[in-house]
Amino acid sequence: MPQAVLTLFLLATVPGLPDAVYVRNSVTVLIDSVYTETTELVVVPLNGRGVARFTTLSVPFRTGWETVELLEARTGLWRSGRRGSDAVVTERPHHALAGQSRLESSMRELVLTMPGLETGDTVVVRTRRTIRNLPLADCYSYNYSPWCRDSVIAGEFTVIDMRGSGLYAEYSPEFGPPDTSGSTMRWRIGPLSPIDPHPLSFLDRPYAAVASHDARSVSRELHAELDIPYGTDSVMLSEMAAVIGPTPDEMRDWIARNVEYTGADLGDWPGFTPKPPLETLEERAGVCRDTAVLLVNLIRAAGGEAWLAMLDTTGGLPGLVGSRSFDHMVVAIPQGEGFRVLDPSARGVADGHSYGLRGTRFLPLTPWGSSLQTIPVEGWEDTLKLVFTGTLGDGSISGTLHATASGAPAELLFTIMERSHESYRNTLLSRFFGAESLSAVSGTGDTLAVTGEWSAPGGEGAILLPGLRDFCLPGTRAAHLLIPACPDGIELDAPAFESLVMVLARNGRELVPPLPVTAEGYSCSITLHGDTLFLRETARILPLRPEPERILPTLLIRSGSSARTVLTP
Amino acid sequence: MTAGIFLFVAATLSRTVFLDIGLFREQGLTRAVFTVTGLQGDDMRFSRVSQDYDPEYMSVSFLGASSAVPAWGVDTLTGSGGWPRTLMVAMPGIAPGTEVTWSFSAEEFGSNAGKGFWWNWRGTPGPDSVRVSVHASQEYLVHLRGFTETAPGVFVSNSEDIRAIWFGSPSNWRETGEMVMGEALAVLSPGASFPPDLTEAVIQAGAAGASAELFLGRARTLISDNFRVISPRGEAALRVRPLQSILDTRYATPLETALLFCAMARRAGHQARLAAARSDLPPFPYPIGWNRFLVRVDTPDGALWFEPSAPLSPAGYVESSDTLFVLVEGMDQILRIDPNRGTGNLCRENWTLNPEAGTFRLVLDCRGGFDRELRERLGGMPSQDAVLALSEWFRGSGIHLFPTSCATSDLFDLATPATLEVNGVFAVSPSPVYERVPELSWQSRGERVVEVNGSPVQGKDLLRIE
Repeated sequence: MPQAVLTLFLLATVPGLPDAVYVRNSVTVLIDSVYTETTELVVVPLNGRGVARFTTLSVPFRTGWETVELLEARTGLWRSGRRGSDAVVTERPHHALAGQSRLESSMRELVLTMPGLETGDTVVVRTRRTIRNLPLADCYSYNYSPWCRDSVIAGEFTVIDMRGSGLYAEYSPEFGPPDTSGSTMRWRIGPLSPIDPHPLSFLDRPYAAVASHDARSVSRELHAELDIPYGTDSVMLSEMAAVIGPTPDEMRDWIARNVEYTGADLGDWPGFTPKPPLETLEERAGVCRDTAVLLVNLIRAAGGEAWLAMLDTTGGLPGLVGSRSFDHMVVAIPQGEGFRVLDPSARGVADGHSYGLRGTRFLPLTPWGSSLQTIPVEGWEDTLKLVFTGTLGDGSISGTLHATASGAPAELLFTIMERSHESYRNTLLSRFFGAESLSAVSGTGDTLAVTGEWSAPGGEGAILLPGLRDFCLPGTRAAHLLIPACPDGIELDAPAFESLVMVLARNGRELVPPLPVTAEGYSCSITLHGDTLFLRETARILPLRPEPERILPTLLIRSGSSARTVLTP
Repeated sequence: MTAGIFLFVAATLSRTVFLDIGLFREQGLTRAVFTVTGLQGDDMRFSRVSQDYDPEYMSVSFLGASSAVPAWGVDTLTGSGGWPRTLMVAMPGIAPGTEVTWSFSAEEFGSNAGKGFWWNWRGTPGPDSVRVSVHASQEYLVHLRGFTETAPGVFVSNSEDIRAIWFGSPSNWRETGEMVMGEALAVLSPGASFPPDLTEAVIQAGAAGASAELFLGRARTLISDNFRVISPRGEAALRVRPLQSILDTRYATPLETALLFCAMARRAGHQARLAAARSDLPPFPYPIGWNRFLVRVDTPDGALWFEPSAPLSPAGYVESSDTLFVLVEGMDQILRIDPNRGTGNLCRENWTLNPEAGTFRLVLDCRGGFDRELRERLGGMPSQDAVLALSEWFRGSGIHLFPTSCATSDLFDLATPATLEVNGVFAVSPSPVYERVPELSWQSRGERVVEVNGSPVQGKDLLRIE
C-alpha cells in the first residue's frame, strides 16, 4: 500500500480516547538451550470499556512444546477498603476452538479474571513462556509491538542471545536501533499516544522484531518440514485429480465443497502437522493445513506446479517471520513473476480465496526459499448487476429482480444461499435487496431471481422510486457508515460496481421524469417510452479498502432522492 | 483476474428425523440417553455434533454413531452460551442425503436431581418424530403437549408443530420457590447479618432522597454501574455466594444481583421480596427454567417490581413482551405480570428538517421499553461510535439522512428517562426535497408519536420539504 494512501487513512480518522494506559509493557527474550519469553504488563483501565477488556485476560499456549507460568497476576486497588486483589486463574481449552469446529484441545489458555476491577485500578500480569522446541523448524522470531489502541508510558523489548548465533533485527523509526551490550539488545519506547485500529494500523504500529532466519530461509525450512513427498499415493492422487480437475481452481472448489473443515491434534506438532493427503480425502475432513497439502499434491499429480504458503489472517506480518508467525495455510500457484493464492478451505469464494484476504502478506514455501508476497487489494472483478421488471403500484413496485454477481458480492450472496436456513433465507435476501416482502426465490445458472414488493412512497405530487440505495445492502451500509464519520474500520462489506436497470409498467399513470444525474462514479436517468418507465443507475463502490475522499461523493449522491423522484401532475 | 461463476441454488438443509430419548431415574440421579437419527443436508450440519454441559453437576459421554468417527474425532472443548464445557464429536464424510444415527448420554447429579425427578423437552417443530421412554421406580407427574402415551412410560410425538413433555415429582409452588431461590433466601434469613460494605452502599443510595422510588432507583443504578452480570447455565445459575464475596468481586449472576438489591432494600427498611420469573408457565410446580430474578417492593402506593440484572433498563421497568409468570418467595401461587406494550411504553420522535441548509435535527423522548432500547443501542459508546450506531439504525429504518453528531442524557442513570438529540445532513439538498417520512424502527411496542417540522406525519409515506 503506497504511503500516500496510508496518510489519507490517517487523516480521515480521528484518534479516539484510549481505554487504558500501559504503565509498563515489557518483554524479555532469552535465547539459550530453550527460548524464554518473560512478559510484564502494568495497565490502568481508564474507562468502562477498558475495565471490560482487562477484567478477563487470556494467555494462550500449546501443550507439548511450550509451557506458560504465571509469575504474578493481581489488581492494585486505588480505593482503600477493598479486598480480593489476586486474579482468579483457570486453565481450559482455548475458547475459540468450539466455534471453529477444531478438535484441538492441546491449544489451551490461562484465563485470568481480575476481581472487582474498577477504573483507575492497576492490573499487573507477569508471565513466563518457555519454549523447549519451536514447532516444525527451529526458526525463532518475536515481533514486539506495544498495543497501539491505548497509551503506553514505557515499553521495553530486551533480547539476550546466549547462543551467539546471530539474529536478524528490524525496527520502525520510533524504536530506532537497539542499545547493544555483549549478547543483549534492548529497545525502549514511550510514551506513545493511542492510534485507532483501522485496517492498516499494523503498518503504522511501532515495532521491533528479531528473528533467527530471514523470510527466504523460513520458506526453505518450513518447505522441508511440511511439503513432504507422498510418492506411494501418487497413483491415487493422479486418478483423483483427473476426476475432479483438471484445473487448480476446479480442484480447489471440489475440496472446499467436499472436505469438512474439522481438525484435530495430530503428529509431532499438534496444530501444525498436516494429515497425509489421502487421509484427508478418505476422512473428508481437515483444517486449512490438511486441505492445502491435499490441493498441492493433487495439482502436482495432474502435472501442475503448486506450493504451500503460510499467511497471517490478521494481516500483521512483519518483514521477519518464524515458525510461529502464521495462522493459516493456503496454496500458491506461480503466476508471472509472483504467485496466485488458492484457499481450499474457503467455500463459496469467487477468486480462489475470500475477498477478506486481499492485502494480506503470505510466504510461499519453496525449496529455493521465497520472500513474503502480498495478495493484491485492487484489480478484482466485483460486480452486482440488477435487472428489475415489474409494475408501478400505489406506494410500491412489484416484480422480479434478477441479480448477477461476481467477486465479493457473489461471495456474500452465495453464503446467504448456502448457509442460511430456509426459514431465514428469504428474510436475509429481502434485507440484502431491500424488499418489503419476497414471495419467491430461485437460482438459475449464475443469476439469482427474487420476486416481491419494494416500497415506492408517493404523495404530495411525486413518487420516489427505489434505486441502488434500496436494492443493494452493501453499498447502502457503506454510505451510512462512511458519510457521517468515516469510521476506523474502512473496509466495505462487499465492494462492487453496481448497476440497476428497472423496467416498469406504469399502467397509464402520467409521470414527469427528473433530469438525469451524472457525477464521478455515479449516474442515474429515468426515461419514458410508451407505457413503460426505464430507470438506469450505476455506482462504483470500489475497492475493498477505498480512499474515503474518492468514494464519499459517489456514496452521497447515490443516497440522494432527486434523481429518482418522478412528479405526478 | 477472473471471477468465478456461482450457481445460485438453494441448499437442502440437514433434518433430524427421529429423536429417541431414554430417561433413567435411579438412586437420586437422572440419566438421559439421546439417540438422534438425522438426514445430512448440504449444510453438512451433522458432520459435527456437540453437547454442552457443566462438569460440576453433569457428565456427558458419546456412545457411538452409525458413521465412522475418526480416532481424533471426540474432544472436550470450552462451551459457549454460559456452559463451561462442550463434548464435540466429528463425523466427517457423511454425504448430503445420507442418514446417520448417533447417541449421547447425559447424567445429572446436582442438588435438584437429588430432590426429585425433573425433566422436560420441547421442540418447535424439532425432529419429525420423538419417542421418550421413562424408566423410573418412583411416582412422577407427566404433562404432554403433542405427545401420546403409546405404552406405559412410552410417549411418542409425530410431526406436531408445537410439542412439549414434562416430568416432575409431586411438589407445590412454595417448595419450588425454595428449590429455586433457596441459597439466596438463606442469605436473607432473619438471623443473617449484612456486611459493612452493603451498609455503605445503602448509605450511598440513600443520598438520592427519602422516598422509596428515589432510593430504589439509585440502588439500581449503583448495581448496574458497578457489577458485571454473568449468566451461567443450569444449576450454576442458582448458586449464591456470600454478600461480601459478591461485593468484592463485582460480578454477579442474575440471582445474586437480585439478592444484593433485595438486601439493600431490606437494610434500608423496605418490604422487599425475591422472586423468580419465566415467560412460560410450567404445568405443575417445577424448579428448572426460572431464568429471571426480580425483586418486589411493597410500598404504601402499591407493589413495585425491579429486575436488578437488566443492565440498561429504566429503574422500575421489567421487560415482558409476553406475560411473565412470577414465583415470589413465601407464596404458594404464581403471579402474572402483563405484557408491557401499553401506555407506559412511549416514544416521541420530533424531526426538524431544513433542506435549504441540508441539515436535520431529531429529538427523542422515550419511556419504558423504548427507553431501555435506546440505552442498549447507545449506552457506553464514545460519541463517534454512537454516531455510527445511529447511522446504522437510520439505514435499517429506511431513513436516508446522515447523523453527524449526537448528545444523550446519562444513559447509565437508570432513575432518569433517556433522551437523545441527533444532528446531521441530507444526502443532497436542493429545494424542494422529496423524502420518505423519517421514522425509526423500534423493537419495542407501545405508543408512538412522530412529528416533522412540528406536524404529525401519521399515515404519510412521502414528504415534500421546502
